[in-house]
Amino acid sequence: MEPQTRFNLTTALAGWRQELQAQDALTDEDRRELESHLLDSMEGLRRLGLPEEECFWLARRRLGRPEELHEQFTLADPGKVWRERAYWFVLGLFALQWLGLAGRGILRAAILSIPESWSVYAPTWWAGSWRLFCLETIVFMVTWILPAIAIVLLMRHGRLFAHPRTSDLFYSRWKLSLFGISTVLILAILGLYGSDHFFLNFMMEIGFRMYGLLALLVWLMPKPSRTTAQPAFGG
Amino acid sequence: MYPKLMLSKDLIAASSKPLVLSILAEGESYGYEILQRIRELSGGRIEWSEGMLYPVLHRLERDGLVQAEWKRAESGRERKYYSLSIDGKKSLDQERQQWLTVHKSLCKLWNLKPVST
Repeated sequence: MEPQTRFNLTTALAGWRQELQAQDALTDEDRRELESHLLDSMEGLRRLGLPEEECFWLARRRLGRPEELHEQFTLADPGKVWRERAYWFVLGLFALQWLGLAGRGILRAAILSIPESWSVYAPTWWAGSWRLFCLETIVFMVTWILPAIAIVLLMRHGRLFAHPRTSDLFYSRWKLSLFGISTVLILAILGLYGSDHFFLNFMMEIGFRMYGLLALLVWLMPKPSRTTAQPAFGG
Repeated sequence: MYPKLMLSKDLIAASSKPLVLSILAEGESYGYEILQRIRELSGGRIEWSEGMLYPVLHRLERDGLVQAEWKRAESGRERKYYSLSIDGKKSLDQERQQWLTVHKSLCKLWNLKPVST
């Protein structure tokens, strides 16, 4: 009976391919080329008389770990990463818009189901329009401000859009995002002083648009150029 | 730090372009062969981590300095072959002049006889 640990090149290669697949900076052609290199490298080692298994692991190690390959390919074409980010950013904005709409619907229904008699707890100067106030404030907070704060916090902690080359931008991004949020808030508060519902919506809408535009600009802001534009080398 | 007097990372990165262009000026080649050639030329002192060559090649291709083409070798395996473009030749001339300027300046400072151009 053959030992179970016997090296199987096909399986090993399939495993390696799968690891490469997980690195999204690599295109299919990149993977094809790297695999061709791995096979060339193995062939060279085989000629030195090394056993098949050793050839594979040594060739694999010389080529670099899949995560390292990902990083180097990313550094070599930062534009690709930015195009991808812009795509996710736009997708995220759409998702937020739709989730916001759904959230609004649910919250509206929930707030409107509060009995009218509860309005006694609201300050007297709100009387009459307290429901509208609650509705708009809470809907606004939940659908726009909270996700925006969450995004900024995630960015701040490097959970979102984390990349070594952009980390030095976090501080200015953070400030600019904060500025964006305060703009929306100020406009919304100004809107509350308006005489009617239409004015409030109008101001908030302007705020959102401005914040969206600002976020997009901040997001696509060019990176500071580094002294060495070349990818890092070394074994 | 470098027991075999290995080239520093910065220098390896800076010299990658002229090296790759010069090797391709000898004729078309593919990744593995280019690395072998560099190892051979430098006596093993320029040791690239192999996967790093491809981003360099791809950047040269994007800049129009090299052309790439998939070809099938006699063994039946496919390889991506790179060759120098006309712009690549011009760029190599510039690189050569710049590196020779550095070379000559250092030679003067160290009282060595510069390699003639």
